[in-house]
Amino acid sequence: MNSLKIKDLSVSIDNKDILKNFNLEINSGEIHVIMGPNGTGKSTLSKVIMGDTNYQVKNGNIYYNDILLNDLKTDERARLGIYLGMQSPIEIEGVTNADMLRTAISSKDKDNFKLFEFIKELEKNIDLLHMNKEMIHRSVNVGFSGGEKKKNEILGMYMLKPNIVLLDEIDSGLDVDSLKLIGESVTKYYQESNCGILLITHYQRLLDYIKPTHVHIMKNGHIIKSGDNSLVKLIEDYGYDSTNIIEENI
Amino acid sequence: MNKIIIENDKIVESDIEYKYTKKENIFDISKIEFNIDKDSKILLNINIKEESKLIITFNILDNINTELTIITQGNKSKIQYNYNLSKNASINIEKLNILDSIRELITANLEENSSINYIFKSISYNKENYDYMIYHNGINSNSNIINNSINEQGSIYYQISSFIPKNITGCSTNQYNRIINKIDNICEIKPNLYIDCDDVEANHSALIDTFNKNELFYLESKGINKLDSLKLLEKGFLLSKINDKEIINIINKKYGGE
Repeated sequence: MNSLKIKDLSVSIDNKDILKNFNLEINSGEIHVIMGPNGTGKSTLSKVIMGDTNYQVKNGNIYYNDILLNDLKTDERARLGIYLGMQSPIEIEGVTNADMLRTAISSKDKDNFKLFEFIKELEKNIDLLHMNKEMIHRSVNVGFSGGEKKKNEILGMYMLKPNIVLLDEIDSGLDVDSLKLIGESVTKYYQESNCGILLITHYQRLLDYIKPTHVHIMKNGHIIKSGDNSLVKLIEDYGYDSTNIIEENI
Repeated sequence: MNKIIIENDKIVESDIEYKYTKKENIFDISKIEFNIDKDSKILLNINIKEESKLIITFNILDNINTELTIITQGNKSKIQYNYNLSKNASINIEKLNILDSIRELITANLEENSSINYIFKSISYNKENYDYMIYHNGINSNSNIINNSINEQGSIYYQISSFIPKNITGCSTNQYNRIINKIDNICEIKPNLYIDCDDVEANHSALIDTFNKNELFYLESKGINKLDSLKLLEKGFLLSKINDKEIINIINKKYGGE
């Protein structure tokens, strides 16, 4: 049983407050969805959990299985078993996907890393995600379409086998087929690993394939409403601005 | 692949005919000249064991395409490279320098419809000084000069000058220069475009910096520590746009991986 706990977290960037007394707990086997208007701090949340030093944590704590994350570096958090699938994956020319993943896994497994098993696992997951085998030897995300970049993030998740997965707008820029594939792949990983997932999205359509156990609406840096899947329908019907209507219907 | 091996200022092996002019006295410089008269792939290995001075000239004749790989390793050296391209000739150069200290003068003379594509990588441990003179002598000639260096513990100086005189129309010239400066030593890039013609496509850029914070965060978020992330980025920087297997092998050997 793994858990990620965020307690009274306040975060700013360039003296602008983004997260305000934010609280959330994600356990193994739970899928939490955070929805909310643009600029409300959803992506900031995922980056702060991962330890992005562009943001200043002014107050509050983040725990992974009772380990305080606040002072841990990004790579240390990742090696504990937290994975961030980014909204806009970075392009890195010259660094191949295979090289990046091999370095990442050997950093985690150290002496237990086995190259042959890594290659076998990589090929299996490339097939699963319907990716072109050539892409693994291409520079990280360079020349990839929006859909290919998102698949690449999911490939990273499958390879690194995290216990807590943060997926930031993993559905943006996807066509219908890619959305289905990504949605089903995330669900497959969830079912096999019993991981905890934090899904950040604007749209209901991804939730046709990934069924959340908890839904939260975020506004102005904190959660204003939590509930189950029915909350998604209310957002679809009334929009984020109709907070009062949402509250009346809960 | 045709192979040429130079040790210090002498040729020790060459699959291609050449003219060698030995230096006469201490003030003189040895000269090696190649006339390329058929489409060729050439690997030029230069190993500098003693402090050396040398002038190397490639004359690429009309309508000839040349792929040239140059790998220079070793001690202190001063080398002048001349690339003389006749009408409709082209040369693609991929070059790697790993030396204690080097001073290079590179000149390219481009006749009508000729083109030079030059991808250069270096790792600096001492002083590196590169001076480029790119002369567009004929219409519709193209030059693309890319210089990428990592400054480990030395200093790097680039001066790149492209010349396009009046009436030499339809030319394109591109200069892209970037130095990753890992220490506080001073590095300098001077990109110059001397253009006296109004029908030209020209770009130049110069950047001295370290790696992007977002790139580092991305790699670290996959569980790679800062040191290994930087190593990956350096390797990627040196491998980018390089296709030559010899250069790729040397870089992989240095940094590990694929």
